[in-house]
Amino acid sequence: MTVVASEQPIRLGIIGCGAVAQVCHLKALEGLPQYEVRYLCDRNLLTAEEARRLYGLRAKVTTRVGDLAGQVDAAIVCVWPRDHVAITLELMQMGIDVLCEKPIAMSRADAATLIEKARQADRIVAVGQWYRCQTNSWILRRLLSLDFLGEIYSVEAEFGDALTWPMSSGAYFDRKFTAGGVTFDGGIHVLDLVVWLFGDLHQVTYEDDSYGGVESNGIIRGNLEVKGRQVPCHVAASWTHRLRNGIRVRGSKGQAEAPLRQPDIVILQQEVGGERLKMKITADGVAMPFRSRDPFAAQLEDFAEAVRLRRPPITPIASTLIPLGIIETAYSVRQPLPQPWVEAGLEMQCATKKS
Amino acid sequence: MRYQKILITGASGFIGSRLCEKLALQYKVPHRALVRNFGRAARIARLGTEMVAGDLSDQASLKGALSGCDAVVHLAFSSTPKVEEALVSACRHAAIRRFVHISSAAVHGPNPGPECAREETATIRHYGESYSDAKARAEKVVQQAIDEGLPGVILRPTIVYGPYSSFVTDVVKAAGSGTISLIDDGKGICNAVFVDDVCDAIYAALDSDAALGKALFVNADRAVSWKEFNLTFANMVQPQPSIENISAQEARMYWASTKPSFRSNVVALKRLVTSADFHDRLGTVPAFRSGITWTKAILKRILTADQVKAAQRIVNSGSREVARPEWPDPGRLVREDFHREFSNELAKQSLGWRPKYDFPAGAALTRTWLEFTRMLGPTVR
Repeated sequence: MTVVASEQPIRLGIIGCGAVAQVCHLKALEGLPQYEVRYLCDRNLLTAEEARRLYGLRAKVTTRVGDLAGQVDAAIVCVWPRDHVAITLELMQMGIDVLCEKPIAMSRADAATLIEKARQADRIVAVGQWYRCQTNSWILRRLLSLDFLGEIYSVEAEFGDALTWPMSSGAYFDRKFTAGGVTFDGGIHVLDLVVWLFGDLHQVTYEDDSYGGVESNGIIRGNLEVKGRQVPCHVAASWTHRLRNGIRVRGSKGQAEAPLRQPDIVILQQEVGGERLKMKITADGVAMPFRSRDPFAAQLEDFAEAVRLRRPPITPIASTLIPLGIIETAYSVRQPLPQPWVEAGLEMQCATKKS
Repeated sequence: MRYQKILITGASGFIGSRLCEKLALQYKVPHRALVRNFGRAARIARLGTEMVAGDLSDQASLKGALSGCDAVVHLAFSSTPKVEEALVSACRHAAIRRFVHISSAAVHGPNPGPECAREETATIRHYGESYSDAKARAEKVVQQAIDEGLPGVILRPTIVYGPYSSFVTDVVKAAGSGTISLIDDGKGICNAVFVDDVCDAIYAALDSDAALGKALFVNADRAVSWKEFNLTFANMVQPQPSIENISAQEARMYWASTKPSFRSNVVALKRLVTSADFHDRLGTVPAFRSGITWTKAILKRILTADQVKAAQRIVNSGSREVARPEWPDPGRLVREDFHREFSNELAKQSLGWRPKYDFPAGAALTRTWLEFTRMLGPTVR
């Protein structure tokens, strides 16, 4: 069983050394003395070597997860969602704590199985829902707990931009490797935030733009239960165009928005003296559960502490069940998203045929 | 459709993505998308279209992509004709039964003469304009392959617009910032053709034997002016933008002055050394600051008061940077200072195709997409 002395860096392995590992985790790790990267593992050894070279690491490279046994205390898993459960299980069986990228599993049932196995193995398993580690998520949570916005009227959470993620194959869009498109990929980030702040979403309806492949736009709608009242909520995600990229809560005393790309501030709009004022709230002087302002670094910081103190991380595996369940429900009640610019031509063709 | 499978190059681009949509949803034809950058493939990923990674300059990759295909639609743009050489060679080896090459009306250059309005008399030369020359070189390779027996059709679309078109989004973004520009009052001819009409022409070119060996303009029935094109999309933005006019001649002179020549370098250097902003910035470097102070002191000592004033006038003649209208980039200048309308008669005859969208209908449909992407509406500013 891993018990890491607090003065020693945590020996870390990274499984899957592609874009997420290189662009996000390894970059964040550069500023964290809590870790020492010992192993880089990828099914393509060249990718692991590229990551090692890029960050000037002295880590060993391998294609076999089994090589990490006894060599690392914790691992970050950045492979395709299809392989999250199997690799996390393998690492847990080797006594290794795991931070696994989101979504933790292809289905709610798989996630539930993993939760039970983690409990039995007494392993720390955190999930890469790193927007929970943004300062403004915590400010918003504080405002809500203080009823600062009064009676809540609506909640909107959006994540979207033209996809520019570097990728070398089409696996990102392949149902053999992932359970869905943008809703399952980016949408789960903001859905996780909604659930973290308000709990489960009920009466779920869903629209997306899939025509047999994976969706590039999806909108989940439903109701949150806030103080016994039903509050409408929408969660939108896009790979084709920019959305609000944040979570916006409207209440009787004002509106608060936590932008995803301005992690330090919450934008508050309130009527003051008959005028609508826009204010920026920062967390200066407020105690936060992490020191880093970069949410990736903050999550890694939290994970390190969870590993050392054997306490639950901010993003425990158990908390992924509700968002995964909502997405499963959404896909099961899917309706086509209206796209007149796509369908107009098709209707015209039908009309021509009829005439 | 008589083909087993159609390979689409450039499938994740603007026309390619819409073609994949129509092949999958309307024509229901087996097809395979050759994708170089999967980061741009989200739009076709929602169709369930077969996607293969491939590089057109790599023979092995081309061979794999062509395996099982008996028709090709070549949409990918390349600045070198080596891509077309490799592709037509691979197509010959794969016994491809139809090759549809998407060229461009730009092969007739930035300033085509009246002979270019119709395919029968249109000429292709070297123009010294990168896009036109690249498309002309590519078409030449394909035309030669066709002459040598490749069963091919060349389509030359004009100004293709519609959802996802940068011609449209550039105007809407500019309008969202408050001002759009017209070149010479937008008097230039815009041969705007809606993307769906281009895709239908491609489909017809796959099907029609009468088109084999021909090069055809794919254009709408009626051209519009660039004023109509730009203002139609700009005025969708609220509040409506102000309009500024830019002289094509002045814009050309500006770009000519930026080309590397002895004169342009001297002019630019003079502008730099007499710029007050440059002096301010230079003065923030401690070593230069003391040097400038020392030089000024020496000059004051050795020059008369009148000579000092004269020197100051020279230095100040550079003045501070003044906000000026942004010059349209050379590509836009070529597109919009354009005065030739292309006929679509031969395409209609050869393909049995006709455009379904006039400009207002195409613009209206494009608007629905702009609204969906929130480029129109209160969030635009």
